[in-house]
Amino acid sequence: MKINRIEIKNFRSYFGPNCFIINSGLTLIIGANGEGKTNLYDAMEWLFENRIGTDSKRIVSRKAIAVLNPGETDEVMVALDFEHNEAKYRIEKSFSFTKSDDDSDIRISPISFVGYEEEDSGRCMTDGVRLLDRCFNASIRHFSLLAGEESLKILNQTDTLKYLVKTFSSVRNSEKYISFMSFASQCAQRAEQNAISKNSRNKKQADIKTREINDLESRLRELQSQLRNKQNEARNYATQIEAIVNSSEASEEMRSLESRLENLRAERNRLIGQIRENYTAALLDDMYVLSGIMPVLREFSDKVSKAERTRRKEEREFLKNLGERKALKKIKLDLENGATPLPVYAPDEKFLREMLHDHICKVCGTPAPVGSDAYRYIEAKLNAYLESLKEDEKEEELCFPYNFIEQLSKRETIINNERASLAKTFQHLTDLIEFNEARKKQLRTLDDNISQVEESQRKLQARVPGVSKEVLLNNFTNLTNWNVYKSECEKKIVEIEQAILNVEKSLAIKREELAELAENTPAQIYTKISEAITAIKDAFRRALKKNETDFIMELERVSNEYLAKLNVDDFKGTLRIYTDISGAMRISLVDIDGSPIDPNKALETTMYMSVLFAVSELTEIKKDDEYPLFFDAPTSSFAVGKEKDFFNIIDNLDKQIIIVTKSFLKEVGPNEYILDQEMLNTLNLRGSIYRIEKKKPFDDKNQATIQTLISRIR
Amino acid sequence: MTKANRQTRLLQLVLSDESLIKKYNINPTDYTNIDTAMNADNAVVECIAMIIEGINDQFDETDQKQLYHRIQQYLNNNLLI
Repeated sequence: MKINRIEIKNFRSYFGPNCFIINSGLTLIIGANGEGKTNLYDAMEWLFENRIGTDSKRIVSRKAIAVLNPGETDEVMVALDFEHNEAKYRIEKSFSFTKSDDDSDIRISPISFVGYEEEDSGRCMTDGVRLLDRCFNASIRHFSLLAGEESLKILNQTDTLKYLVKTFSSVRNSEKYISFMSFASQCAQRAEQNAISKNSRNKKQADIKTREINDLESRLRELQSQLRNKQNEARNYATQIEAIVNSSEASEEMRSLESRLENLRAERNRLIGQIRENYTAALLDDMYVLSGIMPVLREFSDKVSKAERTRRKEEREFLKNLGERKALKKIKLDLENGATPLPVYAPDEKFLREMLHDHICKVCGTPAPVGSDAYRYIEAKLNAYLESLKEDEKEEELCFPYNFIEQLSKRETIINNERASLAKTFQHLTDLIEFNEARKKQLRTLDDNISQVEESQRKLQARVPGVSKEVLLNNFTNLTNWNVYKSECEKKIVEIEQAILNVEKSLAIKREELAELAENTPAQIYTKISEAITAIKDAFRRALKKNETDFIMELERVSNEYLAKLNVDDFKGTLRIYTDISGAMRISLVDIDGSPIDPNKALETTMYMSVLFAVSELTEIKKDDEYPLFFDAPTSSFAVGKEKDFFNIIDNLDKQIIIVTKSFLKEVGPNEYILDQEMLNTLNLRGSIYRIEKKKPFDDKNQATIQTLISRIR
Repeated sequence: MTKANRQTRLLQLVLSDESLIKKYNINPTDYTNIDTAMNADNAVVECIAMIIEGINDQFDETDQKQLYHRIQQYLNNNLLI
């Protein structure tokens, strides 16, 4: 099969009709992430995949839906024009979609898959599925479409190579030959035994030999059944081990995440255990109910303190004034010559009033009429006396005659003591609340971290589909167990194989003994026929085994040639394809001394590709059948230089290979790529180069604006 | 590879079996394809050719008995040594 043309219409980002012309050799389709590479691969897979259950609505171009008016119809179509055995064909898979009247949805028609054969009389329509199966068998398609480097590992799965040998080696229907020869051999032996038993001369001996042969055959069947079971078991263990080894990186990561998760959860539990929020009981038990009084008490204390300070200040002022007054008074009382004055009460009030009344100073006898100096003097004296009386009264007056403030101070002191005790309790409460809040904050951070780790675990599991978290976590324990089981199984297989050999030897002897009984009797011909058929059976068995071995050796030889081509000037080792004890076939690389090599990703990829190319080449030789290979991003792990060499080599392989890749692009801005012409010029391809990219402008949040444009560069 | 080529390949593989060569005095180079084997003087060779010719993609267990009777009858009539 050789593809000439791929047509894609309204398939996801491929809005409207699109076409790739495909030549011989390598066709490179270059596009950055999100520009339609995988959609192209999926379109091919959709075409080659015969299952009808795919959700068709999901593959309709959103842009095609958006441009339709309600009630209008368009179609999704993927078609392939190809040549096969010098005839031209076309397969076309399609369905139509109609926009609903309310513009909210689309209705889709059943999928149609038709084929066309070009005949002399014109184009003839046929069933697409049958045509595809005829020209591009499903078993080959399995090894034709491969997405990403990981998909190449299908070649190292337990039964894949066995399947390849059966499908592509020179001999077809090998199981049918084995099955028929066993049947024929058993029939011939039964006929021989019957013929010998009919001869009365040897009847008794023949019956004994026949019983012995039957017992041995029964034992042989039992052993063969055991062997098959053990080989299946060993294959299953090998598959398990393979799955574990393949997921060892993921397993290590999962265990690391789980360990972190355990620590985070332990820390979470510890924090939860630390939080004490029994605030309600503490309200009365620990007097937390009074926590609101503290500001009142503080205010009271402040006010008392302020009042006390004010009192002291005023009292000090008062005393100071009082002292000044007393000093002044003393000064006033001092006479000019320093003599000691009479006391203020001498003469006393009664005498002074009498002198004023009588208008004469009765001390010195000077008349003192009203208005005279003497009169005024006596009057001043009386006033001074009366004033002194008042001052004395004043002196007895206290600044703060009532000790209210002292009482308040004393009370405040008592309350303050209580307040200190309460403050301690309340501080404890405040600290507790702060502590709890701090723990809660830590808990929130921990919960975020736990969510992140759990999300990482989910993503990790998605990377290894079919392998549960438990299996990933117990990987190494399982690996040890599976290795032990496999080893025990292999020992058992060796024992059973030895037992089979022994039984077969015994059977051969018994059959010879039985044959001797037939000599010179009419049964002799049955013995000869039985011997001939058994000999033919054994010859077929060995021939088929040799055919399988030859195919593997040839596959290995051709694979090594491709490995050498794909790794020019690089270390590559030697590719080995072998059958292990369980009957499963394996691919590996070995060093010159035969020791196994653990290849890096790029070498591993070229190893699998070499086998894939070898399979393709042998298919061509053995089945007169060529088929294209379609790879989506097979060179992700390749260094730039190696990738260029790789593409040049592949182009010269004389195989039709289509590769979609994001290589040969250089970033010129955020999500902005242009072709790296300089690098592209280093490619010397016979085939075509296409660039696929999104039509601009587009809205990255609206799929209805996305459209892949195709441009042919070479 | 055509059907004839596949049959020839299997024929040569079976006829090159040392044990068979020795026991039934076969010279594999005498038989270059299935037709020459079908016309062989050696009964075992012809029987092998009958088996290869008789088993095809459509052959199943129900056809086994018929093919066995054919080769058994053939050997009965031709296996003289």
